[in-house]
Amino acid sequence: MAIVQLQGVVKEYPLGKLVVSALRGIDMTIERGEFTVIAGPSGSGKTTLLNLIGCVDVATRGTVLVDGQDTGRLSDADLTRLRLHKLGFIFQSFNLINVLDVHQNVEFPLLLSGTLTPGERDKRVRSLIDRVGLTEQLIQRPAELSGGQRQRVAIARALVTNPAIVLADEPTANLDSGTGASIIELMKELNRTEGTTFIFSTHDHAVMSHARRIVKIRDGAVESE
Amino acid sequence: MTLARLIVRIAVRSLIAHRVKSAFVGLILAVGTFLVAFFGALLSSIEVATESAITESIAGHLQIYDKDARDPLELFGGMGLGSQDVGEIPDFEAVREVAAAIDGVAAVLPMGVTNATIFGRNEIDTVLETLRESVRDGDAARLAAATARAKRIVESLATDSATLDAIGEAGEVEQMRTALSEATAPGFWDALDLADPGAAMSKLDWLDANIAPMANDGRLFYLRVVGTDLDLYQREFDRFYVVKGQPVPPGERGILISDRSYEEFVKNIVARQLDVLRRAVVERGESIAADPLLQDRVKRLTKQYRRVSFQLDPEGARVVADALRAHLGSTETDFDALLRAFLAVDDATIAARHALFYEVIAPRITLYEIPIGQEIPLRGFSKSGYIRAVPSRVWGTFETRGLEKASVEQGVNLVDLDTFRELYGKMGAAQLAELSDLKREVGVATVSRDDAEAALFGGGPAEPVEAAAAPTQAAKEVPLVLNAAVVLHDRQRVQELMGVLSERLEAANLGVQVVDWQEAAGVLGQLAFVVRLVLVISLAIAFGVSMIIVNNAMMMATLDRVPEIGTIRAVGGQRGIVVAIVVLETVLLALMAGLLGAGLAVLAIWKLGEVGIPAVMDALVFLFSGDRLYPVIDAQHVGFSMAVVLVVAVLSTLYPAVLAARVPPVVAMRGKD
Ligand SMILES: Nc1ncnc2c1ncn2[C@@H]1O[C@H](COP(=O)(O)OP(=O)(O)OP(=O)(O)O)[C@@H](O)[C@H]1O
Ligand SMILES: [Mg+2]
Repeated sequence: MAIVQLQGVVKEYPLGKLVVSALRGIDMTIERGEFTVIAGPSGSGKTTLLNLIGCVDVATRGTVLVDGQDTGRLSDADLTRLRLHKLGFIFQSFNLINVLDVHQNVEFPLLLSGTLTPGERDKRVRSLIDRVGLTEQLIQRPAELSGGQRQRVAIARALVTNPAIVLADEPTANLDSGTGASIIELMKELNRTEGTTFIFSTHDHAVMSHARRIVKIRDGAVESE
Repeated sequence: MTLARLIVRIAVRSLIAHRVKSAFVGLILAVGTFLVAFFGALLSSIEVATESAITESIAGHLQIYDKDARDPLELFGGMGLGSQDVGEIPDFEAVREVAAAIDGVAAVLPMGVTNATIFGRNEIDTVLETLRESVRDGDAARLAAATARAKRIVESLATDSATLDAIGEAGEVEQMRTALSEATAPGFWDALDLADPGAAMSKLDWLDANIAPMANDGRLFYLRVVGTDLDLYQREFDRFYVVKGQPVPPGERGILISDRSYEEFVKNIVARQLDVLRRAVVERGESIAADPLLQDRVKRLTKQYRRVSFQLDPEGARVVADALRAHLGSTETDFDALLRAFLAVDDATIAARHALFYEVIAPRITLYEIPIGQEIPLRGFSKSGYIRAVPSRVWGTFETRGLEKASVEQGVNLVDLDTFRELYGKMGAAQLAELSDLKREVGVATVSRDDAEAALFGGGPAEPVEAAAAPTQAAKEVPLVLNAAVVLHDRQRVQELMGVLSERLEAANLGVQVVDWQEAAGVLGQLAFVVRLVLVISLAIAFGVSMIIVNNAMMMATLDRVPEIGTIRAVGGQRGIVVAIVVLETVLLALMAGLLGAGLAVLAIWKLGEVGIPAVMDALVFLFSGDRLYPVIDAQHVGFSMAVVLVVAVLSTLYPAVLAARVPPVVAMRGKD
């Protein structure tokens, strides 16, 4: 069964008296375990699309099914649970919690879900921080980190709950090619071993080359697969 | 649970992370708490002071009186003219029993209020003076009150016109009668308003010229007399203290005059004028040269020299003349001219001449026209218009601590219950016996009470004569009690115990009603109420303003956090959690700031409580119940102020936080919308 399914999804932003159509009727299906890249020029609607799949925004029209559930019909509490347990989101602007240090930011979703013991939790947090190469920065605050380091914290936080779907909005944009490649490697490994579904947006051709499937969008509509 | 710890951790970290902002918002919260605690404590200190000045002077906490009274009970006098009819308590002992049985009642005192007159210094002078001041100041309320007083005096002069005959020649008396009938004619007093100050002043001049002389020589003055169980009174009312003379010994009859009345009316006018001038110039820093009213006073003083010269014997006059010549450096031989020159004081000379007056002149004249220890005729008015004189010994003067300078209080005088009954116009056992003797002698079978009383002392209220005629009844003396003061142990329980007392008295069917001190105090109670209202309103405004500031600060602070709220929501935090985090932060901040603010308020009030806040105006003396207010602050003020600031801060936080938690996380993450 498809893990993500979009039907006639339209997203409009009111802008004063005008209405900006960011997405103009998207139909799309993503299967479990897929490694998909959404490509398109700036302003084409990549972020908007990921926000809808990631349940942090709502569509103006059309249906968005995530893990078989119609997100338009879920209560706020159910949507929040879906975000916590099924989804991991790496935002384009990272959105870390400024008052928490690296370790605490990564640990945050685990504390919210409350599924692990403190020992397990600490082990998992440290292993992920290790994977993104931030062991040295464990107790630093986001303000004390570079853009690339912040991005890596965001990646670790998205992966820490071992979600079924990971959404990443240009995850390598601020990384040097070496780090970028190792992050992609990590994701591919998770994809292989855990069957995690990955949905990326990027214009990075190096990243695209790793993808099994590339969906190109332009002006809010699917251009080609 | 870990989630709870997470919430606390984020809240605490966030406070620390945003040190500067937290400190700023915290400061606003602290100031808010300080203001509420400080002014709250000040307000209730004033309230307690004002209240206790009334309850501890005469009113007690509750007053009981006749249920069917024609007029409301007004212990300190009302705005109305003439004496009030508050009925009487038929069975005081039964009332006392019911009241004393209630837990929380400290004492029950029998009382009665009436008016009496004695001869003393001219009261109309003071009233005319007050009238002039209020016309000059444009003070309508004071003018109205003084007009009522003046009117009352003139009316009683008209009623009491028998004294006129003693004053002067027939022609003069005729002139006085004409003046009196003019002054009591309808509409006469209407012209005395602020609309035309010129006309009002000339009316006052007319009164000065035509009416004042009568009272001047009659020197009739009015006493508001409270009859009570003096032993119990002197014990139960803590603020009572004797100034001159001594308390009335147990079981004795007599009167204690309010020290202010004594100073104002009974003291030699020249001494009194000098006192007033000295106080104005030396204590209050006023200037005779700059104040026409004081100049006027000096002018009058120079004309009142006879009040001194008439009292000096030749030897005294010689000593005084020598002293004055030495002091003035004068060679004047005419004593009156010398005295006039001496009394023409100015800013530079008042202090020294005041001192000299008390050193040389005062010991040689009668400083007080009614000396302490002397028996004077107190004259009471019955409703039928007759006057009866009750000889009464003046034991001393007294004051009520805290009300010494309160210009609103007219000065209440204390007499024993027997004297009161006679003043009021009810006969005691002795008189009743005398009356029945008289009746036997005269051989009248039935005599109306009015006639009988007129025969005895010249008047009395109409009552069935049967009671008076029964000699067996005369044996057991039932005191006349018009009202009863109930003193409680705890001022907080006034309303509660008023309900209980009311119910029990009702159940016992004693025909009485209960009012609280505020109602019973009449004008004074109303004044206390108005003042409290003004204070409460101004406090409410200050309170409202500081709460709006707190509200704004918290709103702004929370709006800054909206992106963070969006992030927590985006990674899976439920609405409740984000709201809890933000609110907890506010609670922690408000508690710390509140402790600081309330702590400072405690310190400030504590310091003021040591030093005292000076009453810079006369009205404040009454409010503060003394020259200085020594405010106190208690846990209630601290708790209240902290709770109020906490609630306002939390509500102001809750609103934007809940709104932020309602929008989709991306919207919140983008920030302000
Ligand atoms: N909050 C918003 N209000 C109004 N218009 C918006 C808003 N967010 C996005 N848009 C518009 O929607 C369209 C799609 O934007 P989106 O951010 O999805 O593009 P993108 O493909 O992610 O671009 P980029 O590669 O620059 O990140 C753009 O035209 C953008 O201007
Ligand atoms: Mg984008």
